[in-house]
Amino acid sequence: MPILIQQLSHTYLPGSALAYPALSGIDFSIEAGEFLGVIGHTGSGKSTLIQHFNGLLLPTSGSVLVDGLDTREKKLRRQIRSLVGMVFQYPEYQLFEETVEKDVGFGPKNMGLDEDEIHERVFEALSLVGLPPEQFAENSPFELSGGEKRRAALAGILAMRPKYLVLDEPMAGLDPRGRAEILSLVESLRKNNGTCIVMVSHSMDDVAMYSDRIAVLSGGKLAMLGTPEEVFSRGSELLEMGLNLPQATRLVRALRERGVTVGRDYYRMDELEEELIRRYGHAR
Amino acid sequence: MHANITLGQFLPGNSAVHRLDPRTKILLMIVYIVIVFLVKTLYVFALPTLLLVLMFALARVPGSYFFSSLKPMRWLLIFMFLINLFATSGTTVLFRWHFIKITQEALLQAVFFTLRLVLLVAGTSVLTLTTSPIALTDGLEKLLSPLRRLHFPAHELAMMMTIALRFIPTLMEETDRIQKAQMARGADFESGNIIQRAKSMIPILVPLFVSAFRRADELAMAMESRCYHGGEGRTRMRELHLHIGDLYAAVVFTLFTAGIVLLEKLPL
Repeated sequence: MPILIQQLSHTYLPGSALAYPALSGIDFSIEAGEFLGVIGHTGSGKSTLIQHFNGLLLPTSGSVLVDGLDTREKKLRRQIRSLVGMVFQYPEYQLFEETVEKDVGFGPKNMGLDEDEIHERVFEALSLVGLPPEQFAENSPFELSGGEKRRAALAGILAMRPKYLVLDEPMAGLDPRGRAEILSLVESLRKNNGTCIVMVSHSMDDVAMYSDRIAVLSGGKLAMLGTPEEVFSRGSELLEMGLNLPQATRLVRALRERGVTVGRDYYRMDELEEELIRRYGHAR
Repeated sequence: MHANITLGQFLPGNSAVHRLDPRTKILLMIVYIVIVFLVKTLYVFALPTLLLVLMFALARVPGSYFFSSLKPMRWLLIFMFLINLFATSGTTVLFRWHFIKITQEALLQAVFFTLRLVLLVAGTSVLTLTTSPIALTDGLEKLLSPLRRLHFPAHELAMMMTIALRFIPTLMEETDRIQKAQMARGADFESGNIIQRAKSMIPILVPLFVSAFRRADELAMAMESRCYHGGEGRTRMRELHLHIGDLYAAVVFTLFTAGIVLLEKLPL
């Protein structure tokens, strides 16, 4: 069962002088198990959109159904929030407990699970994010390093074993190694647990690398939705929306301008590298 | 969620009242409060009322702000009116029903106290409506600066106020964000008894305090790296100057004060 977004519109402060339409007429669905990348310029409505997936924001008009559950239904909200895990930007700022174990257990505890189950899930989640529980469980979350805090916060969401994991800029402010760790963690969650991933990112390369489909938001509307090939083949439109292109796509463009033949458009660096070596490697 | 909360109630504009020096406005507001308290007879309220209307008109503040300034006080106003109405003893009975008795004296007193409070609240709101928080703290700093000789930290106080004001919207945003993050983890802030609800605030308050300290630290660092070292010898980008308008305003207030004192003294 997917997340169905039907004719979703959202207006902040409706009816007042400050009314601001952030989303209008969004219509698509997120399939279970897929990796959806969400890109868009600042202010295009990405954050507003993803907060609808677990009922933190409610549609001004239209509806969002998570596995058939309507987010507007107050009674279903707790169930929806355990289905859809949400990792906000800089999630480390939400840590509050005395120990890492208690903090990671906050979500499962709110789900009403028993002590043993919580303990098991906390240890599992901590191992997943690469914080060995034996070493970290009893530490204060405020003593961790920046990257460790981020991973502890992520574990707090994973411990709820969400079916859908929504991440808003999960790599913001991390060093290259930290970025790679988060990305490989997210990718392994999808491979091993079949978790559906929705990732908002400003990095076209990350989105191009991992997404099955990409949703492009512009001015509160769904401007494009398709595979990375489909989306990045419309490069000029993306540039017009103030978005960038993946490095590989830019490189292909630059090479063509200088008269170098490249077989097709590329959006992943590894594939382009292979193509270029295959084509021109022998000439060295 | 908090986006609709505007800080203070400053209404940007360029009216005669807006252009007054903040020092003048603060001082005249104190005078205004004093003269409202000077009034002892009901009909003399005509003068401060006229002054209030004059201030609103000169500030080009829409009349609706008069009511919105009173809105937070509405329960207090109603309560005061009713208490005075029913609890004041008097001789001329206007209305009687079982044990409830309303006398003319009580009615007059109720109107008197309510009117006084309305004038105070609406009048002082002119100050906050026409003066930006920054100008207000600037004015306050200047007014308090003579006290520096007595080691009163006027500049530091004003700086703290400015910083506090600056961070209110930021912290509101932060609260909203943390609240949403905890709600996404299934936190419930709406149900349960009062103790459970208070407990449910911990997941918001702890991160909020942590981030407030972090921001304070960062700000202190940024200020120091720009060589900030307090008020000694510090010049300002916008110096406060008294203009002819400030003189006019002072004259008007003096006339009103004199008028009220005279009317109260006259045996009418």
